[in-house]
Amino acid sequence: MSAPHWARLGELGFVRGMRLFVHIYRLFGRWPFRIALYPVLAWYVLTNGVARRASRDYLQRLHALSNGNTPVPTLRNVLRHFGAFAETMLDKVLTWRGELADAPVQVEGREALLRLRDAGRGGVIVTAHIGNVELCRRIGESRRGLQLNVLVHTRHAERFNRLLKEANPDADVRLIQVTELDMATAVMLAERVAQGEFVVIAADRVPVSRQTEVIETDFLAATARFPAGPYILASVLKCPLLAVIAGRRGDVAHITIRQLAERVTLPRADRHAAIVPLAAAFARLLEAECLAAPLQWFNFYPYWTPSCTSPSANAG
Amino acid sequence: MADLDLEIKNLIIDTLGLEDISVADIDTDAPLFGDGLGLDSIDALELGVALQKRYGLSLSAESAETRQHFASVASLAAFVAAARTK
Repeated sequence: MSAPHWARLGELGFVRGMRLFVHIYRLFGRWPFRIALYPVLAWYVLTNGVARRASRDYLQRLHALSNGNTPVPTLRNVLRHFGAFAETMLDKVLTWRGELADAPVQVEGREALLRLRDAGRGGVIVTAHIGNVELCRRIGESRRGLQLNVLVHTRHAERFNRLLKEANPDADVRLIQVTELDMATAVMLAERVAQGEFVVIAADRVPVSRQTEVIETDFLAATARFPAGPYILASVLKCPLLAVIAGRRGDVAHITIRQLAERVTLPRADRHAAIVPLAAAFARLLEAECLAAPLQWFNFYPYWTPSCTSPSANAG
Repeated sequence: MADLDLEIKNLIIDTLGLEDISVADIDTDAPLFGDGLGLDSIDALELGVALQKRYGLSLSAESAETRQHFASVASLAAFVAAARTK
């Protein structure tokens, strides 16, 4: 694969810049934040061809799928796309600081999660780099909180942890750095799930490790690669599998919760075949969210399997 | 010790759903992974979780050590006997 892997793109160098912008927001408010942000974004978009083309490719595919109902893949909309990303990064930081505690969040399908929580059962939650997924901490807060163990890749985690620790030293979510699922980690996660906690793992990015199994399934009318790891983890932990997808509906944050399986069982003879429908169901949820909130998709690297590149994807 | 061997063989069969294999088919000293019983890394994870649940073992983050414990039924039984908390 010659295309740059997302893990090497350094999360767009945004994290360091975000610290400055968080300060601007805190001192002056959201509009000055935006005014300061756009020249930086414009410079970023113009100098970072990989991210720019990835955004345009995504907008192009979505535009075709939606019969023209989503933003046209123009440079202006690419800029808006990155603007939405920066605003969401700000919202994530504010969520961690507890500053968005009163902001409205629509939650669709909350019962699936609360039913498990109230039964004292845990599970695996697959999620994606869409919208402000930090808001899923708010789902359970009305009564008893949800204990979340978020699995992250080291390269990102260290920088994010620093920023987020700075933001809220008492953050109640555990970030666990996992690049390979080893036995000690699996056992530790099994114990947490047995105590009714949830393990959160992104299922929209193929991990860094080359041995990792990859599932190919349809996403926005072309073949894309998804990791098998989250589903294997759910099968090892023998627990329910849920998808939690964040997004927006207009100005309001939105979260979709779906149970994908009561218990994931992968037959030894052909685990791959048993994972495909789960990954496909997840991809369909992503697709629905992209159609509903087109600019909240935050995977700015070549996402689709190269042989399925759409004809206009090369336009920078 | 022989009882524990048998218990672990049963646990392997139950945990991994090895329907076509019986306790008698598992050689106590044969490798569990690769050439022997032919288990893979995902089986190993499932087995680790099941062993922890049953015996309250704490597994080291040191993977070389874990690999030694999981070499065969015999080595697993020795490990369980020494490290079990329930």
